[in-house]
Amino acid sequence: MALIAMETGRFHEKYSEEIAVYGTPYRKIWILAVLVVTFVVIPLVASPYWLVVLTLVGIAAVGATGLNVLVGYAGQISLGHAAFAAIGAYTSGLLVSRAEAPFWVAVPVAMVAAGVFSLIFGLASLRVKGLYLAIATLAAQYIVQWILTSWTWITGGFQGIVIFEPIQIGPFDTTTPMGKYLMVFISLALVVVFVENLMRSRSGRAMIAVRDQDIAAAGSAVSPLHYKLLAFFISSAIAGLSGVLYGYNAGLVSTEVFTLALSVQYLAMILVGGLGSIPGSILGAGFITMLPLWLRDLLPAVGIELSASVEVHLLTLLFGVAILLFLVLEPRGLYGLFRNIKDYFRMWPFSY
Amino acid sequence: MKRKTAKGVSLALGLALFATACGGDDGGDGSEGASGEDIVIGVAGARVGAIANVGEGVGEAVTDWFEMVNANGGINGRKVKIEEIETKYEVPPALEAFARFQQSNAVLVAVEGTATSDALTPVSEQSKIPIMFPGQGNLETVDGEAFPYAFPAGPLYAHQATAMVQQQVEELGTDISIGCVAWEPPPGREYCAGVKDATDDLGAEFAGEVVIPAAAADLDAQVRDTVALDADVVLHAAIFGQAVLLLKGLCDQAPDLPVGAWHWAITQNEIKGAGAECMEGKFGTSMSTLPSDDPEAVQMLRDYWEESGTDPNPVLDENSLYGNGLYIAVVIEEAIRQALEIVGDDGEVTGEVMKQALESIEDYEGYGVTCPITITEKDHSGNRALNIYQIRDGGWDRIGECVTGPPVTDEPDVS
Amino acid sequence: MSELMQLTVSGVFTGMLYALLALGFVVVVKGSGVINFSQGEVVVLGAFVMSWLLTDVGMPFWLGIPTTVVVMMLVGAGIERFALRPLQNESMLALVMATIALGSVIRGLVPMIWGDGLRSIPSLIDQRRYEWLGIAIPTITFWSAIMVLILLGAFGFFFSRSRLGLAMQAVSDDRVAAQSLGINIRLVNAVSWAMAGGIAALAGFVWGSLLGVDHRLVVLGALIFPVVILGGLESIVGAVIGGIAVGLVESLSAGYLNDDLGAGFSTVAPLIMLLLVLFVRPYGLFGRPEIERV
Repeated sequence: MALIAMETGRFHEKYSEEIAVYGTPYRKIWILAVLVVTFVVIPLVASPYWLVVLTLVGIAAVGATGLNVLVGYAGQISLGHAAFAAIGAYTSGLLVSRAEAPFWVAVPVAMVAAGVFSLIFGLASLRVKGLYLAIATLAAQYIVQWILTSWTWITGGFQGIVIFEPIQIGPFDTTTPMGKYLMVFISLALVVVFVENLMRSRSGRAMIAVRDQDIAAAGSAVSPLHYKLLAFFISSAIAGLSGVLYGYNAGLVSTEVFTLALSVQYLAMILVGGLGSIPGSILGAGFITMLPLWLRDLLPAVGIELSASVEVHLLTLLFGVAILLFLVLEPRGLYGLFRNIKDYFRMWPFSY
Repeated sequence: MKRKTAKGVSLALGLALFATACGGDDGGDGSEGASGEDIVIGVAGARVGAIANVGEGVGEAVTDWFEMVNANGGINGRKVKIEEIETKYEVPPALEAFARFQQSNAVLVAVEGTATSDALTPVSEQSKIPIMFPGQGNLETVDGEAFPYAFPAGPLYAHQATAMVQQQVEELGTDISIGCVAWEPPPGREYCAGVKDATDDLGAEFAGEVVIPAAAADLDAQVRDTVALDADVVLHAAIFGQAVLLLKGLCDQAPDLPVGAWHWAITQNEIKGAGAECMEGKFGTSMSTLPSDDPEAVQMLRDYWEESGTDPNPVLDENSLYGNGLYIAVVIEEAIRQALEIVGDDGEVTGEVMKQALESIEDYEGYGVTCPITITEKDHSGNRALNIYQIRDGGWDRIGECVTGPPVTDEPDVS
Repeated sequence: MSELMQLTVSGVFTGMLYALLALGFVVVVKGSGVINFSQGEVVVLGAFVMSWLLTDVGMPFWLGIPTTVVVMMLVGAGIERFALRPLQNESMLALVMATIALGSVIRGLVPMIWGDGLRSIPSLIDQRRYEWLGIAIPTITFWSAIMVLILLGAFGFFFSRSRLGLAMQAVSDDRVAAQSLGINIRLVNAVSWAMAGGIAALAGFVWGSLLGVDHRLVVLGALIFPVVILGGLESIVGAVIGGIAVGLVESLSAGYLNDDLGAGFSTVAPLIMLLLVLFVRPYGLFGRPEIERV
């Protein structure tokens, strides 16, 4: 038992240690535990209702993890991730329903389409230093919404509805809450593995270098434009995936879904969860998605009855307040809080 | 190391697939209204957001109505529990709300707004709990065979348009030209397509369509375009803030132009926003008999409030869309009554029973609130008839009762 | 021809109102270097305060308008003090995120105080539109444009002549150098946000009178960006020229392009212009081309 308390700090002596997947043996246990809980325990014990809620959390987590690549690692802001999700959703939905492509073709194509589309806005704004991408992506948000509502030849009719044929392979069936849950969490696991590996690669480190010191990075033969665009492309493609998941989960997409409010929610998720941290993105997605449910269920339990409209506006306000508080008090977000607590116990009783 | 990761992942995935196979049909057993218990109805509320006005009217009316029904002993002795969850007219909250209704064993879910009713159509089918969305939604859903669990149960946007044209032609003759102003998000376009169909059908002239972009704040250009259509009558499908702006602009630039609207744009909101003077003489459709006409249902509510000593709900007088809520409430009541007919007064009501029950509603006039409703397995529209009201002296005057326009071209054949 | 004239004239006048929106944004960039994503929401707040004071409280115009301006200046200063000053040593990313968060706070707060319904601002002048030679201009637009011109003159004078104005210029040029010269950066930041608040009150009055007061006004916030990207993020003259350009693009595309390119093209035309400008001249017409390309 004494040995378990021995880990008092983490010191890397070789590069190979620095880029190892499992920094410590405990990390391996953690990862395994998370996998078992996600794919075995929850599917066995959760009620259909909780599967639905967790599925929504998972979809948000995919989008947030994607956005975190851009904001957390490349230091740029996007206000158009809902728009890129829409591009992904519509591309895959149309490929499947009109061109009868199988989903395993349609989904990667949709992700690439979302990424490539976003590059229009990236090229316009990432060539100059500063946060011009935020402005260009804000424009993207409005432009995409306009395209979806007015070009009915793309979306197919006034309602702009694209039906997602359910995926059914053996017992796996996306018409059931269980199938949807597994679809989303398998995707999330793949995204997490991809982003985690990206950050251990040259590209990931180059992104961080550009974020922290672009001039020094340029001096080290790391092209800032190249890596900012790469981060943006990856980030938007993952947003596209979250749009696809959204479509399969709901069974269809329509034009009124992917709004600016959703883009802002993604930002809130990564800020509350923790910038530049994958567990943070997931925690943040969970927090922001479940906060309305907690408010709705817990406030009456403690005797506070709010009208529906006050509750919704209170939430909008709380999103903002939460972002501000985390910015000022704990920029590393919920995951930072968690790490602090963990470090406290790991270092205990020597708190240095 | 890497190989072990792969092993771990594949093991977890294998177990997960096993779990699906075992628990895959969990979703089905949600919709049981066990015998003798309260019958749960879900309301996906939209009191906040793009259609807050509708959400308020519907939410308040449905709650009030079943409070009264329960106080009077329920329907054949069964109490009805209304569970309203706010969705802000956004899709992810609507999906969560639906799952929650399913967990509470709701047997029918009322939805407001096209985006949310569209989004819930697949899950309603998957979970076999019917959804109902009178006066809104997608024209395709009238086809009960294509969308077995979706019930418009009332006139859709295109029907509102054709009825309006029908009434104008009856009043002014066929020698008129009618222009249309569409609100950009889908419903408005469907409305103007209906206007065009009906003018073609009835021999009047279609003067053209002007579209209001969803995001537009300033409508000066659209108002000018509308005036430039040079139509004898203009019908519009704008809502709330944009409707007010459009009406104000039209009053300003073409004060004598007759302007009609769909059912969401002749409420107190427009009278207050555009001014009573501007709104005088404007007309529009309503799927329900407006509360100001004091239909039987409204009298029943007032009596109940008086007897029980409850304060009357001010929304009844302040928001004419309360009428839409009463429409929904009385149809739900009738569906439950039919359901109890099928399974017996103490029987177990499920979503599937409610679907059957809705499909057996025939010539129902809902305490004077609705035009006769008949729903069949094939035709989920319920009715295509509208009341037409004109604003006179700041109030509503019914100038057309249960008017049905010519059939709409794009409508699925359900005869 | 008369249609072209009408579209041009309404484009120019509406453009002046866009300039008013953008002015609040430009002042903040000038004073504190922050790209403010919440100016649209601050304008909405201004419109609600104005509408509340003029209708519910029943103040006359001569009292209500200045009171709103003062209230909104305090709000602006408060935003700087409580939301941005704690972050003054953080990255620009954090500051910009803070303004996005502020937008969310205001969007939630306003309907909690005043409800979801549409409100109005009483009209100052009874006559609703002027007509000359067949060209019609809403009265409120006309007089607002005049007011914008006066304001711009005042701000131009302030930034080029007054001590505080020059100090603000210096801070936006180089914070560290300005500080070492003894300029009180906190004061400069606070003043610039207070000015943005005051301008938002006027913008809220103008736009609220035109469109009615409700949450839809937030949409206007997005139109600030084409104006300032074209005009240059911190140029007052640029804001006017950019505003007029945006007004013209919107008005002309509403007149001529909507039918071909899809209804509502006019609402995104300024945003497409924004992208084109970013491609060609990212520092705008009047911005200083010292933006670093990396």
